[in-house]
Amino acid sequence: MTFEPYRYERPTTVEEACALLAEPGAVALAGGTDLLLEMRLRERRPSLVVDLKSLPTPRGVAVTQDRVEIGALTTVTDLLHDEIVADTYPCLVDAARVFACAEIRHRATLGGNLANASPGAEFTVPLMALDADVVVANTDGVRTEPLATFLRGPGRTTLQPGELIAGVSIPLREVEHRCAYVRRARTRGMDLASVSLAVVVHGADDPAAREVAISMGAVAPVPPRPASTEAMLSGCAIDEALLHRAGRDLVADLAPRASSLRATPGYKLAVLPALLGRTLRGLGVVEP
Amino acid sequence: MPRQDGPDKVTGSAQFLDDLRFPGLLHAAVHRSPHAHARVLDVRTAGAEAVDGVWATVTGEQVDQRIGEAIRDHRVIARGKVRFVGEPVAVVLGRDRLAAVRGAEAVQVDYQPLPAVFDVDEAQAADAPLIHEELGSYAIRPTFHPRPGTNVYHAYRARRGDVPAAMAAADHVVEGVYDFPHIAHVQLEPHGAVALWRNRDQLTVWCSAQSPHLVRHVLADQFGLPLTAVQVIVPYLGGGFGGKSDTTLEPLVAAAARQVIGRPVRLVLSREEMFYGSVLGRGCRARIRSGHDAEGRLLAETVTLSFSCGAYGEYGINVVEGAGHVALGTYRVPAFEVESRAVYTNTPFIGAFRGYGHPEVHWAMERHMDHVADRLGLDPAELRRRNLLRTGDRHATGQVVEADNGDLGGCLEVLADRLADADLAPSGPRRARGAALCPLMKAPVMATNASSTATLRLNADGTVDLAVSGTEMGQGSWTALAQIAAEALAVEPHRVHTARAIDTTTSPYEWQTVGSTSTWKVGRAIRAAAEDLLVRLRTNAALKLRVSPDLLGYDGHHLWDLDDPDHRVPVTAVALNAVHDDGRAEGGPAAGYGTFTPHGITWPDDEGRGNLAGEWTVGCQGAVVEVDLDTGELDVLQLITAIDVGTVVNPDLARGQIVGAMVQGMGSALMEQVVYGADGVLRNAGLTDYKIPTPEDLRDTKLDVEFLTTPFPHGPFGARCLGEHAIVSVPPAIANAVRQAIGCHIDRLPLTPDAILAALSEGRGR
Repeated sequence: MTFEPYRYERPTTVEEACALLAEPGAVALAGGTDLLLEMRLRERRPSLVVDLKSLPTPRGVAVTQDRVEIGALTTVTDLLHDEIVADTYPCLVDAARVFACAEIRHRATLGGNLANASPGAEFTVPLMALDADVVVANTDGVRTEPLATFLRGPGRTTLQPGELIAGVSIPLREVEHRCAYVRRARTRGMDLASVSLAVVVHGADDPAAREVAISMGAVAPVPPRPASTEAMLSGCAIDEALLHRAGRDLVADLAPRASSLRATPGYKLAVLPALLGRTLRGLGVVEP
Repeated sequence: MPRQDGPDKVTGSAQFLDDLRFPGLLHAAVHRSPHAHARVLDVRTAGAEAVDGVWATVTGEQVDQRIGEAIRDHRVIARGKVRFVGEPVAVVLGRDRLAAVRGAEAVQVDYQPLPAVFDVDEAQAADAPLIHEELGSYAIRPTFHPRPGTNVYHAYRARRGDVPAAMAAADHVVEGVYDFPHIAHVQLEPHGAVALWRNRDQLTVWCSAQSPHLVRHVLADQFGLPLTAVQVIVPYLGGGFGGKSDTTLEPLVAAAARQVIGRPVRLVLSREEMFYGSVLGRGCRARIRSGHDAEGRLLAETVTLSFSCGAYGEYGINVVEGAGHVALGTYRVPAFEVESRAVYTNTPFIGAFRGYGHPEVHWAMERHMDHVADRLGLDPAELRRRNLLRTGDRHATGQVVEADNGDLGGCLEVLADRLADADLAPSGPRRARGAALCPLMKAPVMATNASSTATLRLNADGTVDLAVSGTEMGQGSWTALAQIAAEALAVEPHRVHTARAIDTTTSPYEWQTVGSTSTWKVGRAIRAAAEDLLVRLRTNAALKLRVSPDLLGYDGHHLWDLDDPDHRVPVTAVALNAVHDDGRAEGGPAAGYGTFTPHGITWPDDEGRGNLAGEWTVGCQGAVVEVDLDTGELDVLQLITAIDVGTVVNPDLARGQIVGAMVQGMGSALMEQVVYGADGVLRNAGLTDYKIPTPEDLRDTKLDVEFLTTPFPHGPFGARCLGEHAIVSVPPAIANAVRQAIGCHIDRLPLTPDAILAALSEGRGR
C-alpha cells in the first residue's frame, strides 16, 4: 500500500460534508471499492478524504405512493436482500447478484457506483431504463437531476465540488410492470460486464398500452436508451419477427470502442440482439 | 494422510516472505521503462535523492554484472538500452515504501525510442529490429545455438528420415498454425526478496524461490563469491507454478542492497508488477505440416516452434529446448524435422510455467490432429489410436519407449470409454454439446546432473527429522516425502517431520524444485538416506544386543535377535547410542544421508538425439463442453484425466495436483492471455482484466481423475512424476470438444466467447 498522506474527515452532517467536499483536492469516500484501488495505484492522490458513512442520509430503501427512494449509502448487499426492491424493481436485484463478489458487495454503495460512472456499471444500466433521478445534496440544499443527464461519460458526472449524491429516486407507476437486467462477462466469477442490457416493460399484460424501456451497458460512454427500438416494441404485440427486427435496430446506431479488453465491438453487437430476445421472452411478453 | 503444512496454513501461522521482520529494513522501489525498446541516454537520480526518506539510488551504471547460466544476456538494471516496458532502469531505496516509491517516481530518464517488435514472426523477419546486437558476444552454455545478427538466440533441431520423400508419398498433407499466448502464473504470494550484505563478502537473501540452491549459485556467480558466502533462505512459499523456479528478484535486490551494506533491503512486487516484474509463461506459435497415408497414419512431419521469449533469454531457453524434445507429441512419426526456436521480442521475458513446453506442443499437435481427423473424415480417437507411440517405438529424441514408461494406450481407452457415456444432448435450444479426448506425455527437462539429497535423523523419542531442499509451494511434497521416509524406515508417517524453512547453509543440496520431480528424485534420496540411517541403527542395536547387525529383526519399533525374538531392544533405546548396563556408550546417533542423481541423461547430439528424458509420465484427458450458439459462452461440463502415475503415494494430494492442474489448464483454454498495446504496454497487468478461473467458474464442472499404476522402476516404491501433467492436454481437449459441438476449428488460445462467436459467424471448419 503506497497511499500518499491525506487528511481524513468523517462529517456527521450533510452541510459539513458539502463544505469539506468543496475544498480543493477533496474526494468522497463511501465503500471505497474504487477509490482505494485508485489511490493504491497512485492514479488518484487526494489531499482530503471525506468519509460519508456517518452522514444521516438514509441507508436503505423506502417506497412512497409513486416513487422508490434508495439512499446513496445503501450497499449492494442491502439491495440484494431488500424486499421492496425485489417487489418493485427486481432488475436491481439482478444487478446486485452479479456485482463483483460478496466481500465487495458488502462495502460498495449505490451512490459510489453512480459517482464512478463506469459505462458498464451494473446499476446505472437498469436505473437508466427505470428513468431514475439522482438526488444531489449541496450547500444550498438538494437538487434532483435525471440520471440520463447526470452521467456525462466514463468517470464523469455533473457532480460539482461541494456536492454529494444523497440517493436515487425511481418513479413507480400504477401499471403492472416487469423488468430484468442481464449481462455477459468473461468469467462466472468476479468480473466487470463485457456488455449488459436492462429491459423494463410497463403494462406488460396489455400490448396496446405497453411501454418498453431498454438500456445498454459497456457500449457507449453513457448507457444509451435506444428510442427507436423502444418505440418498435411498445404499444403492440411482440412476435419473433418483430423481435428479430428490434434486435437489428437495437444495435444499428451503436459503435462500441474497439479498445475494450472485455469484448470486441463485433461481439457486443452480435450478442445484444440475442440478449434482448431472451430477456423479453423471459419476461413473458413475446407471443408464442 | 493429511498435509503436514495444513495446520500452519489454515491457522495463519505459516510465515511467508512478507511476514518476516527485519530491523533497519530499507524498502526498494523500481523505476521502470515506459518504452518497449529505446536507448537510455541519461538517468538522473538527483530528484529521487532529494525526496525525504530516500536512502540510496542504484542505476545500471553501478551494476556491472550480466547474469545468465545458459546465456549471459541480462543486466538486472538496464544499461544503454531498455528492451521491454517495465524493465528496471533504477532502484530507489527508502526508509519506508512510500519514500521509495516517491523516489522512483522522481527518477528522470532520457530515452531515444527504437523500433520495437512484439510478434514472433515479425521478430524473425530479415529487417526486424535487433533486440540484442551483442548476441554473438554473449557467453553461452555448450549445446545452445544462438544466431548472431538475428533475434533467434537458440534453436533446437531434431531430424530423422527423408521428410520430402515421405511427404511426396503421402495421401494427405495437412498444414496448420497454432498459437499459445503469453500467460501469467498468478501465484497467490507475490514474488519477493530481502537481501542483506553483512559485509562486502557475505550475502544473505530471503526469497520466495522454488530453488534456493540455484539462487545461491547465480548470486555467487553474479558477485564472484564462494558459495559459502551466499546464504539463501526460503520460508513458506505461496505458489510457484514454475514462475519462481529460476531467479526472479534476487539478483536485482542483491545488487541494490550492495549499495547499503549492513542494511536489509526488501522488494515485494505488487500484484500489477507481478505481470512485468518477474517472468511470464508460454507464447508459442507452432507451424505443423504432416503427411498421412489413406488410413491417417503419420508418415512425415515438420514442426517449427517459435517461442516469443521476451527481452532476455535465460529463463525461456530450456522451455524452448524441452518443447523441441516432445514436438511430435505422443505419436509415432517415421520421418520428421523439428525446430524449436527461442526468439527475442520486446516483451517481458518468459520462463518456466507448469508443463514446461509440453502444453504448447500438445496444444499445437492435438489441434492439428483434430484438423487431420476432420479432413480425413476419421473418428478423432481412432486417428490417435492408429498413431500412438507403443512400446519399442522411438521418441523424437531417439529414446525407445519402454513398457514401464506407462500405459499410454490404456489411458486413451479409459477416456474413450468415459466419453462414450457422456450425455451429449444439449440442455436447451441454441446450445450444442461436444466431447473430445487428447493424450499427453511429459518428461522433466533437467540438467544432466540434477541431483537431490536428503538427511534423516532419528530422535531419542523415535520421531524422525527429515530435511530436504525440495520446496513445498503448495504441491504437498513435504507430506509425500515424509510418507516415503516413513515407509523406508518402517515407522508411522506422523513420526516423520519435514523441516519447514530451507537454508542453503544447512539444508541438503537440491538442484531445483522443478519438473514435478520431488517425489521421484528427492524420494529416491530419502530412500538412500533411510538405508544409511538403518545401518547406524542396526549397529547400535547390534552393539547393545551383542548380535551381528545382519542377524537383527526390525519393525520400526523394536530390533531383535532373529534367533531369539525375546532378546530385543526398543528403537528409542538405541536411536542415539548403544548404552550398556554400566552406562558405557557405543555407536552414535542414527542419522542418514542419501543422494540421488538420475544417471545416464545426456546432452543432445547434432541431430537433436540423446538420452534427454529421465522419466516419462503418460495420460489422456477429455472434455465435455456445451456452447451457447448466440453468445459464444462455453460451459465446461466435465474434465477427465486418466494418468499413469505408478504407485500413488498420497491419493488425496495426487488427486489435488491433477484437479489443480486441470483447472489451471481450463484457465489457459477459456480466459487467460496477456494483452499488449501497440506500444508494448501490458494492458491487463492486474486481476481486473487478467482473469483466472475461480470456484464459481467450476460450479457446474465435474472433475474426474483416474489413476493407472504401472510401477516406475526408478521411482521410490514405483512412484512417478505427476505434478504438472494434468495441465498439458486440457486446452486442446476443450478446443476439440468445441469443434465437435459447433464444427469450428479454433487454433488460437484462449477460447473466449468472442473467439467462439467469431468462429461461428465466419463459419470456420466444416
